[in-house]
Amino acid sequence: MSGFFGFDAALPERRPGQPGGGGESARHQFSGFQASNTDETFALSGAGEEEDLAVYTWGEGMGGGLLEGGDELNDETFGDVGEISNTFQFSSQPAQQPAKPSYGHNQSTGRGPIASTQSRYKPKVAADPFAFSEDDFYSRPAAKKPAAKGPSRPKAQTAQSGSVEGLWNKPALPSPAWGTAPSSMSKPTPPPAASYSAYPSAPSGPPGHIKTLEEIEAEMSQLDVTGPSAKSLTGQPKVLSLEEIEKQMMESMEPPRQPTPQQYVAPPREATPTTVPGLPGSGYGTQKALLDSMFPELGQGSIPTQRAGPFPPGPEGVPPPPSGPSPDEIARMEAIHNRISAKIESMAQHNNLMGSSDKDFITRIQLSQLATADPYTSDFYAQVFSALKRSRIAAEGQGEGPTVVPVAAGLGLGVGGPVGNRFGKMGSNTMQKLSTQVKKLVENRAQHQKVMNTAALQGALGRVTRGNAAAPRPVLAIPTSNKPEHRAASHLNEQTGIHRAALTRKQIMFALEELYDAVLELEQMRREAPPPTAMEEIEVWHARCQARVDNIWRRLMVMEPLDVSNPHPFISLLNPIKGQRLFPRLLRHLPHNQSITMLSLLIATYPQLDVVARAPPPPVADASLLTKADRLDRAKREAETDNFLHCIIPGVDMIINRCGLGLVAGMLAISAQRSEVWKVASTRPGVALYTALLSKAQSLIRAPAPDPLNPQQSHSPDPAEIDQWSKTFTYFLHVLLPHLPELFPSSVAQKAAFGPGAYLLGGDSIGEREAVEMERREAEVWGFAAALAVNAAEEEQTSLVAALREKILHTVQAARNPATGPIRSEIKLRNVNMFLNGLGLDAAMIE
Amino acid sequence: MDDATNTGISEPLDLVKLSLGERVFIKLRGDRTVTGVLHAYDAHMNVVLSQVEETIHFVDVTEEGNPLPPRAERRNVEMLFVRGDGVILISPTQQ
Amino acid sequence: MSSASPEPDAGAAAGSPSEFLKNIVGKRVKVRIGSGVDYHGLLTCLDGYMNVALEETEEWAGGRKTAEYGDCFLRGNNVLYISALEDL
Repeated sequence: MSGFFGFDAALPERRPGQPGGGGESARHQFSGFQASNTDETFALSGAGEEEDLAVYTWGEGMGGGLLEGGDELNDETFGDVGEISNTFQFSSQPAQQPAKPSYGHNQSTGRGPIASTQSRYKPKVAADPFAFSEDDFYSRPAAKKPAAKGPSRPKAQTAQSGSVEGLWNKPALPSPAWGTAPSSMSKPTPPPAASYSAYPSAPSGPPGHIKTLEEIEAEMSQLDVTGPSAKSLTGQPKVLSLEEIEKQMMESMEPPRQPTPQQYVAPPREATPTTVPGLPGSGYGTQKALLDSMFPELGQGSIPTQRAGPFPPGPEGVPPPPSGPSPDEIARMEAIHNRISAKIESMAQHNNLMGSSDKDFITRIQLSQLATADPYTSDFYAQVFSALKRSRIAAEGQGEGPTVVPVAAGLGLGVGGPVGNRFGKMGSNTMQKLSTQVKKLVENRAQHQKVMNTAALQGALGRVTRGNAAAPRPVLAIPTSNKPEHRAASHLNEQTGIHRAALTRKQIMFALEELYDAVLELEQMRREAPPPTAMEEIEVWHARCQARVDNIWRRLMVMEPLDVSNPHPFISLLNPIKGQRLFPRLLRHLPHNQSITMLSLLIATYPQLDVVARAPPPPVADASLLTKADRLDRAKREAETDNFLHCIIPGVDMIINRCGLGLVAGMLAISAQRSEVWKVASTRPGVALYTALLSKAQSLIRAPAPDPLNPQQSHSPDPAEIDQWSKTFTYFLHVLLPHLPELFPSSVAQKAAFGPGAYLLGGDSIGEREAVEMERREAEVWGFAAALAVNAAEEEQTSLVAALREKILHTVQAARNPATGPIRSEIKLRNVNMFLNGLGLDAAMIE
Repeated sequence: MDDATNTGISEPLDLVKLSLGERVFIKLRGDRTVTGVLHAYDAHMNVVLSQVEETIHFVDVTEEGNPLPPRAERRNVEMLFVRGDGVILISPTQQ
Repeated sequence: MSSASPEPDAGAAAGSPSEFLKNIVGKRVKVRIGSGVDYHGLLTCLDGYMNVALEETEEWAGGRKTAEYGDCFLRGNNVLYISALEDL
């Protein structure tokens, strides 16, 4: 495992490392994970190393130290602080023990762990006090300095240091590199932060030395390879907790160790903060404090136990550990150290082994793992791990079942192989696999999407298709029994003569839609008129158009009996705004007689119009007095009225303009007979209609000028028609006169003003805009009154004036009232004059 | 049934068609409702409305998790395109 | 009057879903949509998208009638099931 972890760290860091000084940033980038691992691991190991281990550490770091440190750190980073030891078991033991004895991991691990653990724990606890050892660091061999690992050895150890140094020196070659290298530096430094800070101080180390992660990895791998013999020493079959392992290792190693001073040194270091070699300038103490604060238990709790192990070996006697390692042990340790340093040296040759392609490769693995169902197949680490594990198991054979959770069987990757092998083998193999995997992924994706799109189930419910909300598909073939021919219009047209219910709104709407379609079709057809030369075609075209017109005419249901329903179907069509809009377009296509018919029907059934029957009440001064529903209703009715005046009345005017006096008289008669004139006249549409009729009649009577559009009307009106008209008008006026003053909006408002709604009185308190609007509506009625006036006989005029006298006076007074705005007063005067002028009078004549 | 035949509505989309040019109420996913004058629609129920009032309904919850009375936020839009996949229901406004 | 299950009567009465759907046109139905809201109303018509047109519609949510619509169009993708509220 150590190997892996080491690798891990290396990989990520490697990149940073490459840039050279970029190590820090790289770490940052990689976030806590690998980078931190490495750092920490190294740091830990470094701590341990501080003793001597530093040197090993690298070698060991590969094996034990790294693992331990890394694991713990990992855990911490991942939040698993407590379980360090366990993690360790995995990595350290498997790696150490099973790992080919050759690794020397065992040794290293043994030491490493010890050292590292101790360093971690102890340093924090005991070491802190000593931590000041920066000086020590520096004072120590310059060579060591560069190697962060060479870390500080306690003063006490200085004596040993000599021997240690010897060891270190060897490694120094490699170690300097590490130490110097930002990345390497980081390793020795315990916490990442520390490491950072360490850098600055680290400068002492030759920049050139800085090794990249790759280098480190390479070295580590070498170590692994070379390690074997050493391993055997430490190798203990069981998977144990770190501590256990350490203990065991310590014990086993003790005898040999004694000889080696370094080891001794190590323990003291642990005790002394100085251990942090790499961190010299960076205020190691604070960093340690940090560490301690972070892992207090680790530092304190573990120290004792570990100490016991490692310390004993104290060769120079300096080491406090009572259990001090036997000389044999020390010797052994030294031998191991030597070996390791040798390895490290050799490893150094392989620095930068990993190329950018290797890195890419790793990256790809990591990416692919995100998407694959079996993440382990191409998981480098898992594979290495399993390989190691397997080898360990094989080695153990007899023993303890693997404590390690089995990882999916991977392809055996030749981790243990010759240095150069590792990536070569794996690269070709796995790379291929990876690429195919990626390809598959992509293909799968594409396929999957396709499938999803077309996924269809054939079932009892028919063809179930997976559409989506945006692009729905028919789920079921629903038999539609209703034929479009069953439309309301034709339906109604078939039955005549009886009272029926009015069209439902839906029917109206449907009829209107059909009408729209028909009108559109007709309009299109009109546009496609054949060239005037092609007589036959034109005839055909005419015929077709006529057919359309007939169709439309039928749909308009104008010919339905007058009393077929209330409202009449045709009126129903004109009630919705949609129908009103259709009116002028229809009119264009209808022949004169049909439009006359239509107008007659309209006038006869005028009261049935919504805009008449439900005419909006006069505006109120303060809309906030109304409920929302009320407001909406008013707004809607106002809108309908406006729309009616805008769409229908011009058409009505147009038709009326084509009518002779007789027709106009007839229409007025119809209206007067069939409806309560004053009610109709109290609405804007009614006023507009009557005004149009009266004006047209008067213009026909007074100036029977030839109408270019309607030559047949150019002749002067028939006296009989005039007579009929005057009779009709007289009757009309007679009916209307009593209500005349009430037709004015201001009057209506006045009446309503006593209610809860403060209706516009044309008073002073209303806004200018509303006031003007009010006057505008007043003008409509005044215009109507004027039309009455011009049509009225003399005595009728008198009664007319009498009826409106108060209204006139009131309006004139209001206009002259200084409180009234100039605009309004002008409008008022104009309104009154509109009427008075019709009588040959003027407002100026009043008073 | 007679009614249905009389209106000539032979498919649901006809109902929407009948509301062309009229004010409609549209219920949308996400507790939104919209009313406006229907100008156009298609088979996806993509819809163009004018004079739109959009209402978003909230039901706030107290810290104890008890729902507060529903709350609505409104805004007016002159012209609005509503993408069909958000539509749940369309109804001509009652009047 | 089965209101609980989607189209129990349908299968029994008519034999095929489309038959059922044809038969319930003009009947009172309950349409449940994905959000769990029910719409009770007179089924005017429906189409292959399961778009549904209802008349005299009542919207029921959480056991309460929350709204009424004279006519309403339900977009098919929301429809969970349609069940008859009266005998076919």
